[in-house]
Amino acid sequence: MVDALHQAHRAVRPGGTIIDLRPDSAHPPRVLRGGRAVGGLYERRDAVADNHFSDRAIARVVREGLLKPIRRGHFWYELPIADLAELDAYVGQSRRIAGYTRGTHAALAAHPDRPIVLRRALAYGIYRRV
Amino acid sequence: MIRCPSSVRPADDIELRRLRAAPYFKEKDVLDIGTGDGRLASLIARSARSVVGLDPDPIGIRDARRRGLRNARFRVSTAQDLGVGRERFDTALFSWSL
Repeated sequence: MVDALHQAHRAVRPGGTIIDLRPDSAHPPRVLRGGRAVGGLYERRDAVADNHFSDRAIARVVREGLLKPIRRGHFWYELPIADLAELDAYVGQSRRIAGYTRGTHAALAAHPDRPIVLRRALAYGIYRRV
Repeated sequence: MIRCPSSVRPADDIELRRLRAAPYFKEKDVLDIGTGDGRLASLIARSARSVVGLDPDPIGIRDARRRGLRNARFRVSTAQDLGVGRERFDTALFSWSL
């Protein structure tokens, strides 16, 4: 990850910008049914660890004086899901999501007629290339 | 509808709007690292001078090229070995790839 940042630093002109945008492990996905939060999903340990490694890589390159933080934060977005089967399929094949938090699947199954929405958070950082 | 990794990402330009990143793309030469099927690159290309999209997945790159963007090029490449030679950019975006 540090290598990737060094490569990006070389590829960007001085005074340019490097933007990091990725899923936010600090804010795990939430599941809404009929407009109400009914639970969430949890991420695989390796995905969470990768996020920490990325954070540390960014911090290191900032310490090296190659990047200067401009702005950081996170935001949420929503994805409508057709039904529980579709969400099951997504959870089953996701490289990032490990499963449902306790009680979430039962809560979803209890009201099959209500629409499902998945809320996910993205973290971002915008840096000036020094 | 959830079908593939790209479709579990925001369907419209919500990422770019929430980033308030337009000034970093407008009339700029942009490097999109982890471009996938060029979803974000195609949005950025509307205002950028040029976009180079990189991704290790050849199928994603094939799909990105099929978008037929006039000012965008796509290549199979990794974040660890960008392979851009002496080419320089105003902005590099790690799209879910760091």
